[in-house]
Amino acid sequence: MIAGMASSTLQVSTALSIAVIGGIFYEVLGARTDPAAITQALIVAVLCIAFCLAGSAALSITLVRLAPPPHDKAERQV
Amino acid sequence: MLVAGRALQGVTAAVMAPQALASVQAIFPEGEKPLALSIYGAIFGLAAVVGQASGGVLISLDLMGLGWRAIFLINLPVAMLVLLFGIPLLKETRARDAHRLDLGGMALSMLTLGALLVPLIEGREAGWPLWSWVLLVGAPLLAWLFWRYETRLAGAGGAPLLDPSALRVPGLGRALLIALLFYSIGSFFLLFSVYLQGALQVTPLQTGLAFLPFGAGFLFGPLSTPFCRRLFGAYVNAIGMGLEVVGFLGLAGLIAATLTGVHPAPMPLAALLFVIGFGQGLALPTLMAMVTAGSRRTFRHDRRDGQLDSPGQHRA
Repeated sequence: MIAGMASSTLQVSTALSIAVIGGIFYEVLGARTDPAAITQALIVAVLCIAFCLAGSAALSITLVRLAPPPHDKAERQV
Repeated sequence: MLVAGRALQGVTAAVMAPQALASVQAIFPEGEKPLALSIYGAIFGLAAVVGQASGGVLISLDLMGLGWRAIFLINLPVAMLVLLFGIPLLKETRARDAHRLDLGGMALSMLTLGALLVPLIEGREAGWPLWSWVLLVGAPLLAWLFWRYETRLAGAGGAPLLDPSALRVPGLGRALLIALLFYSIGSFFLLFSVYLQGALQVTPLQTGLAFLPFGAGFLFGPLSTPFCRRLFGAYVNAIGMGLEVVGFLGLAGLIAATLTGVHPAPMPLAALLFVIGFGQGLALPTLMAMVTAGSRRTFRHDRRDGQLDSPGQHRA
């Protein structure tokens, strides 16, 4: 059940990533197909990915502060 | 036909992937789980490398004049091997309580995702026609229906596809949001391939090989997770994603600093891709542990209390 949720999140996230960030890439690209346009679109897309990951890292830190995960048994307060 | 075939593949893969992860949870005792999850992550990495490189090789071989279509053949021998080895191995881990399939939940969740993804991909290409907006507005509505349906099913003692109470567990929603953002990298492989082949005229084979440093990092990352966890505790997850951010910012800088149409310097490029892969691999086992372990613990607690809707209890 939970493993299913983790794995579904993986599938959905990948699909969303391709839809949203891929969408941004092709939106920047517009009707052009020249190397300069593709390079520019890729840089924008890469920065979007970096932004998402930075947000994810920040959330991860807040989650650790919220409740230490079970492998830190010594610090756990349940 | 291709789309239908891929959809079927997606559905079956989606049925299978959670089982692999759940098997890790079921087979290994608590103490060995971090290592097992690390190896799971490393194999994910190895598979990504082999997949990318062999995809490139297959296309350049041009088997039977199939061109790019040959990449779909790769799944046949692999699936057969898994069938051969997987069936004897997995007989032992049979589900203790089989539930009836939540067909209504499956249909509603698929409709929700479709209403979200189809307009985002097809609607954008078609220039945002009316139907794409209608679907986008309908997606939250469908999601709400799905939520209501699952809540009612859980309340009636059924086995919903997604138990809403599980999401109310403190931290789980956040863990899933982390996972959602974590996989934003999913689009990178596609877009970087478009860049290599479209802007730099790199061959498909070389494109596949260009991802090798990423794969190498993705292979070593999970293997070093247990060690890093001893040093940094649960912050390993954030550190791994931080490395990825550094790698991606460096990559954007490298590409921006390179003349248009010129291949970026191979060594810095490989180093950056390695860092991204390593960070991804480092963060993956802890991410899986965050989602599966945290929720499983509280979920079991809920079930024992016979009360599904009680996040407040766990803080007490």
